Amino acid sequence: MNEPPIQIQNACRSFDGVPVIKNLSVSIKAGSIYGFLGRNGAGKTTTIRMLAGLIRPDAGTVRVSGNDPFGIGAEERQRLGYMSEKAVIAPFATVRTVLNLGRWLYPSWNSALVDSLLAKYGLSPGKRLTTLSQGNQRILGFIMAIAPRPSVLLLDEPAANLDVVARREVLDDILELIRDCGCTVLFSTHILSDVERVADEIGILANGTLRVSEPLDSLKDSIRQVRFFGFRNGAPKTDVPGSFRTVRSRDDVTVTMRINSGPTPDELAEQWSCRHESRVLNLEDIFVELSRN
Amino acid sequence: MNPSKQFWALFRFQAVVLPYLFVLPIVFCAPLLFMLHRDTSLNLLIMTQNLFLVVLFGGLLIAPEMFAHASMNQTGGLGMEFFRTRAVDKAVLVRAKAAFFYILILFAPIALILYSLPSPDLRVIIYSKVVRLDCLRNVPGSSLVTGAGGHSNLVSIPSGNVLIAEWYAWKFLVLAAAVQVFVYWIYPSRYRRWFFFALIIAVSVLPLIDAFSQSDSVPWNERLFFLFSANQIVSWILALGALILGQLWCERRFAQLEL
Repeated sequence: MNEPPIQIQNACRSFDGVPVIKNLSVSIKAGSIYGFLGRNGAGKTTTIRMLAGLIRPDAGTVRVSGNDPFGIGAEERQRLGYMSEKAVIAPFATVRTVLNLGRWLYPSWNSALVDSLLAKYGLSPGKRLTTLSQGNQRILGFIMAIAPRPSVLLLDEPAANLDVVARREVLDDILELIRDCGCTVLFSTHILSDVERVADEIGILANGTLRVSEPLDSLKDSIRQVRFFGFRNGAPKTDVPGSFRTVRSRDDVTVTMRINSGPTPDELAEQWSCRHESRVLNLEDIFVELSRN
Repeated sequence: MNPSKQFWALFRFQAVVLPYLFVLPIVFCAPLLFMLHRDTSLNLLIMTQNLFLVVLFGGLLIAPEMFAHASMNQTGGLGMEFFRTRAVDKAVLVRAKAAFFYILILFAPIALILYSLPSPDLRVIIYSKVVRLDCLRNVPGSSLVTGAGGHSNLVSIPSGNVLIAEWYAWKFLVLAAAVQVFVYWIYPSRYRRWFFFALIIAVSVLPLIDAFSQSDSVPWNERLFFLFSANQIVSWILALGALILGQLWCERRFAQLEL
């Protein structure tokens, strides 16, 4: 019964013959906040759209709360919140109109929460959607996703177009939601500080492949950039097994690698008859190293 | 949440968000109300001209994202993605969109039917002999009458005004059903926007077809109207059959559709 609420196994997806997701497997445990990182076009939105049941994988399986999200109905969707990267815009609709739809469709709709969020973000219910700033449109999308109190929340770039204060407040609301109802959150972003602030676990997607998926602390502890230099028998031509990136220059080899699995830097230095020095990487460094082609 | 509650929630939302509801009947009706008792030919032509609005609004109501690039936000709150990621069943969503579309489309013909009821009979001068003969042959109860000026080309059609309004409703209903099927059919195509525009253009030029026909033949507009008049019950059964089958097909199609 302890099935992870979000589970993707060996998922592949192509568009017009171009692979966007390649053999993606990820499992997110209940109550955690998963930060999904990747460059533009890495496959984040495609993954989230698969989880939201908007598209299907060409191969592999996608499960949300044990169900195939593509086939779920209204009952299961009550527990699945989704915020698209697209804003909620409808001509002639006001903030109230859109929120009313949520109120009509979701028995668990939390009107008190909605009122408090509207007040917090300064959104007037009578305001037309077309007159809202892009940031406020994002906030409305966020309120629509969060107000039914879902058990799984998918947020595609929730903080895009938000100012620093609003971004921080949205992130605080996500944290509060987790505290209140144990909701599982997957959110994609480019903003690394957001991930560091709220995520328990992160996944870095590069060219449709998940490079890492693990708790943030563990990631920071385990990945180092190691520079090997002073080779007595010349620099090695082969890559370190399991390393993320290797850069060779005339006299040294710099490897981004895990230090807690596979050969350690000490072992490699001994094997290659050289010296080495390690550099601790922050999340941005890790992201850049893992995302580079 | 049961399907009927979902349906009404979606229906209400569309009604509030889409102001076309209040504009369309005026657009569709106004010219026809003026013409109903005067010129049947022109009336039929205006009805045919109005058909492109059915296509246009079909696209706007069912899948507005067809008109915008995928990354554009303008249709976000009405597009399929927005609705499908709410707590609604797919079939209910298709039904709610269809119901709103049909009501919007049928508003004008129904208004016209109601308007024609107080004076249902039509007396119209048909100058063309072939058209007059075709009318007398096909339209039940039609007969030649002598007018005040001694016209020998005056045709009396019992309930003719109602019949014209009914023909209007039939055409709109059948076209609306076809448009709905067309939209769901082309939706997965990357060229859907162009296919849709092609349909709008095709329907828009329908009134021009008669420009290329022989002057002594019955215009197709009139011919179809007479055919409908001669086979009213069968026409309605066929229309309702197409409507139901089309609806079922659309629901099945949407259930498998990727957005």
